[in-house]
Amino acid sequence: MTSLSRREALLLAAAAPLAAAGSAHAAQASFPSLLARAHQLELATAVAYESTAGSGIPGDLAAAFARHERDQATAVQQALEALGARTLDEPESTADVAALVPGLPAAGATADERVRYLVTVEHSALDVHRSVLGATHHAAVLRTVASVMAAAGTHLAVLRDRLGDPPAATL
Amino acid sequence: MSSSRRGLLLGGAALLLAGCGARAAPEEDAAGPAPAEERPEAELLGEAIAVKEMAEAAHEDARLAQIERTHIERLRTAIRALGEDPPVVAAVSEDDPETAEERTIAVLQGLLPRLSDPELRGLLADMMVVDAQQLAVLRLQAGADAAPGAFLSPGMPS
Repeated sequence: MTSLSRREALLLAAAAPLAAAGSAHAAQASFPSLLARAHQLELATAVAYESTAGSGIPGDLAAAFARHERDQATAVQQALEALGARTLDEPESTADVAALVPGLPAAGATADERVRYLVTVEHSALDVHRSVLGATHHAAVLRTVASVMAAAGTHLAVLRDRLGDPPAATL
Repeated sequence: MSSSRRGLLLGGAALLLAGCGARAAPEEDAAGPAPAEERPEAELLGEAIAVKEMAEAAHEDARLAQIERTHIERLRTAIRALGEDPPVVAAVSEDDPETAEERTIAVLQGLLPRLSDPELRGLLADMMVVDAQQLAVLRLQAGADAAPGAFLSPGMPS
């Protein structure tokens, strides 16, 4: 797949389940696609931590958070496989991440700008996980997704702390 | 989270999904069966209020206590929207703030699969993520690793 067509495929894949989530019935029907989207965004978040954006935080922290994201992606992938559903194209480069989550900081961006992008990426993944929670009754999936979301909350707290932002009452 | 706990989570997810697939009636969709919860949702939200009242009482940091009060008011509003009166809770907590937050996250995670209304699940999930942030803030203040694992499930056996 060329770089351009890969980005187009990622964008199309990203748009479909979110558009389908417009009604409760559609959201239920799109549960596997939402879960696939969550898997894709977990991998995108891992790539973001491994990229220039991740250099906004210490290297060992970025590496640890990237590992967390890949572990979370594995958990979501296993749930997908149990449903007999397929994964979406896996983001592998910063261009792939930027196609899914706009706003990738430029090479000369400040550390704060890079951290703010990581916050945006974490929120993008959280938004999709939240959609998954609304679209399924599978208790084990709900528990897994809730556990992933809580861990994402700890990531956000660390990132916000580095930015000097206080803890927030809402997402 | 240890790999064994992660394995438990993953194994549980796979087993349950496999089981659901075997039982699925033709009219069931991929979202799975609705929870077989007998207690009214307002009562379940009341449980969330109770644990959040305890967390508010445990917090020494005014900012974190205020966040709990904000959540409590939202839960009260949600209960009123269901046509019920929110419970009056006079909470006293002997927990330290970190333990109180872990307890809160565990309770909210336990309530999520029991709620049939997706909007209410979203409300509790949002609060649970904020509670996880509060837990991380407390860990940062203590000089501990604020985000040690890929999964955060205080209510799961280790």
